[in-house]
Amino acid sequence: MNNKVYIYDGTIEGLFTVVYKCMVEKTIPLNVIKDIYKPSLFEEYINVDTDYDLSNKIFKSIPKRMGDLTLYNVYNAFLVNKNDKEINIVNYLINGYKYGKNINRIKDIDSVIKVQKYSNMVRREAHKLKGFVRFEDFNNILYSKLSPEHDVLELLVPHFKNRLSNETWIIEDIKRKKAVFYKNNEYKLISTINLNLDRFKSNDKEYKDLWKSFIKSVTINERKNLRCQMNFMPKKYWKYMTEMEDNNE
Amino acid sequence: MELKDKLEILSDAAKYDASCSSSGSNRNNKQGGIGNAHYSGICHSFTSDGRCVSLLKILLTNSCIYDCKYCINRKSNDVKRAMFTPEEIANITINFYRRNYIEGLFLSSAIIKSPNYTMELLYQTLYLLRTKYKFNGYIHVKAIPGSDENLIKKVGALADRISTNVELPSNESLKLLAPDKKEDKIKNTMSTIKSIRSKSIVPAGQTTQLIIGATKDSDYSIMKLSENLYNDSKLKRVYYSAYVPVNKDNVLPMIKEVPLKRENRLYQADWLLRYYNFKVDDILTQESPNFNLLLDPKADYALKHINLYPVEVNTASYNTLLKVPGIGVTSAKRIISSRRFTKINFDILKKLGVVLKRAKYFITCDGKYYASSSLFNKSYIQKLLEEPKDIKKVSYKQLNLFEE
Ligand code: SF4
Repeated sequence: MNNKVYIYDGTIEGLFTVVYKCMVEKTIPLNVIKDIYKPSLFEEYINVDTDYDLSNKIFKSIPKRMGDLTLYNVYNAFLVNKNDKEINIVNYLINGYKYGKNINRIKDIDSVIKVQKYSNMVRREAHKLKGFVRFEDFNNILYSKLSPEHDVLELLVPHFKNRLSNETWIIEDIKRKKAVFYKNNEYKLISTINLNLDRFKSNDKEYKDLWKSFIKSVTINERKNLRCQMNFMPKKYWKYMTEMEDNNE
Repeated sequence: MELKDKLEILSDAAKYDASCSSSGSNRNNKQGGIGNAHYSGICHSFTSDGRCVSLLKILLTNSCIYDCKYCINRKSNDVKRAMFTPEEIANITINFYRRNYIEGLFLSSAIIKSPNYTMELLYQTLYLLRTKYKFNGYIHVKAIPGSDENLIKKVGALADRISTNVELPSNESLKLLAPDKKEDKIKNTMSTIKSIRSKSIVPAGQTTQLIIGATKDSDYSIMKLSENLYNDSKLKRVYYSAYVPVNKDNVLPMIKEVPLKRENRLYQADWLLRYYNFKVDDILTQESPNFNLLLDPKADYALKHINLYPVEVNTASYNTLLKVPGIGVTSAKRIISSRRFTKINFDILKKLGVVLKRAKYFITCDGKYYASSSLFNKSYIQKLLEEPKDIKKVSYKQLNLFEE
C-alpha cells in the first residue's frame, strides 16, 4: 500500500487509464477519485489524463484474461451510486490480472466481493425498473420520468428498444438530468439541464384511470400486507408510478 | 356499461387466481410489432397485499351457466355480470402494454352459453391481438374444460401458455363442490394441451391451480397430486390458492382466516420438489399428512432426520448440502465451486450467501460445530427455528417465485 491518490475524469475510459498506469507502475493506489474534497498532506495526488488507446487496451484484455463476466461486473459496478466504486473496481481488475478467470470465485478479497455486490445492486435496480417505468401518452409520444438510485438509464434502453420498437419514447432521469430519446430504431442520450420536458406530461386520463381501477380491484383486502408490498416495490419508486400517485404525500 | 365498470367487475372476478408468473417464454419482437416476452418475468407493480402484478388478468365474462359452490361467479349468485368484446380486451391490452403497465394478458372466462362458444370468443380475442395489433407480448389463456380439441389447438397456437384448472384436489371434492365439472373432461383438456405442447406452440407450457382449504384434502394428497402433475402431465407450475370464502353454502367450510400459512407451506414444499430433489414422501407421510405450521418443510425434514446431521460443508455432496436448512441452490453451488480453492469456514459461508442463522445448527466447518456441541439437540434447535404464529410477523418473501 502507498499514499498515491489518482484523480480521473469520471468516465470509464478514464478509470481504465488509471488501471493501465497501476499495472505498468506496479502500484496499488490508496484511492481513485473524481475530485479532491479535502486535500491532505499525507497523500500524493496524481492527475490522470484519459488516454483512449490505453483504456482500449484494458477494455480488450478484460474479457480475454478474466472472462466476459468480469467486464460485465465492471460495467455495472461503475454505475453504482457509491463513492468507493472506483478504488474497488481498480483493485478488482489488478487482482484479475493476477488470478485470471478464477477471479470471480475468490471470496476473500474485499474488492471482488464489493464489485460483485455493486454489480448486482445495479442489475437488480435496472431489472426492477423495467417493470416500474410508466409512460404517459402525449400525442403518441411516450414519456416517462425516473429517479433511480444508480445510473441505470442506459441499461434500460435495449429492453424498451426491443419492446416498443415502433413507438417514439423518452425516458428522463430527473436526478442526473439526462434523458433517452428513441425514435425509428435509434436513440440519443441528451442532457436535460436546459430542457423542460414537462411539456410532454399529459393527463392521459382515460388509461391512467383504467389502470388505477384495475390495481384497486385486483387487491385482495383480506390479505393486506403493506410490508410485503414495500419490500418488493420500495417507496422511493412510487413517485413516478401512475397507480401510486394518490399514495404520495 | 362503461369500460371502466366492466374492467372493475371482470378483474375483480379474476383475482382469486394465484398465478402471476409470466416467465418461461422468450420470444422476440417481430418487425413492426409491439412487445416481446421477457424470459425472466417482470413485475410491473405490487398490490398492497404484496402480490406481483405482471399481467392484465381478466375474465372475458363472469356470466356462468355452471354453479360451482366455491366460485363467486356461479349462476346462483346475485352478482353484477359483465362481458367484454374481443375488441375491447385487445384495445386495453395494447394501451396498457404501451404504457408499460403490464407484461401481457392473462385471459380466462366463466362459461357463457357453452364451452365452445366461450372458447371461440377467447380465440377471436387472441387472433385480434396477434394479427391486427401485431402484439408479441405474453398471453396466457385458460382453456375451457369440455371445449373442442380443435379450438383448444387453435388458441394454443396463438398463446404463450395455456392452462386448465384442476381447482380441487380430488374427485370427491369436485363432485361435492363443482357438480357440473367432470374430472375426465378436465383431464381430456389437459392431455390435449400436453399433446400440442412443443417449442413453437405454447412455448411456456402448462400450469394449473389448486384451491386450498375449501375441502378436507390433506397436504399429503395435494402434494402427491402435484408430484404427479409434474412427473406425468409434465406441468410447468402448480399454483396453490388459499381459499377465500366468497359464498355461504352448507357444503363449504366455515373458516375464520384465509389459510395463508398453509398456502405458503405448500409453495415451499413445491419448491423443494422442483429444485431440491425432494420427494413428497420425504416431507409428509400418510400418518402425519399435514405440514407443521411452525416450521418450514425443510427445517421440519432436517429435524425429523436429525441423525443425518450435522454435515461437513467441506466434503458433503451437492444433494446433501441442498438438504441443509439455510443453504439454497445458489449457495450450494457456490460452496462446491469455492471449496476447490479454499477450506470453507463460517465467514466464507456467510459471503457465499448461506443463511447462517439457520444453517449453523446443521453443519460443521472443518470439523467445528458453530455453537458448543452440547447444544446439538433436537428440541433445542426446534425451539430456535420455530416461527411466530402470526404470518405477518414472518417476513415471508413471496415464495421465492421470482428469484430463479
Ligand atoms: S365454471 Fe368456473 S366460473 Fe363457472 S361457476 Fe364454475 S368455477 Fe365459477
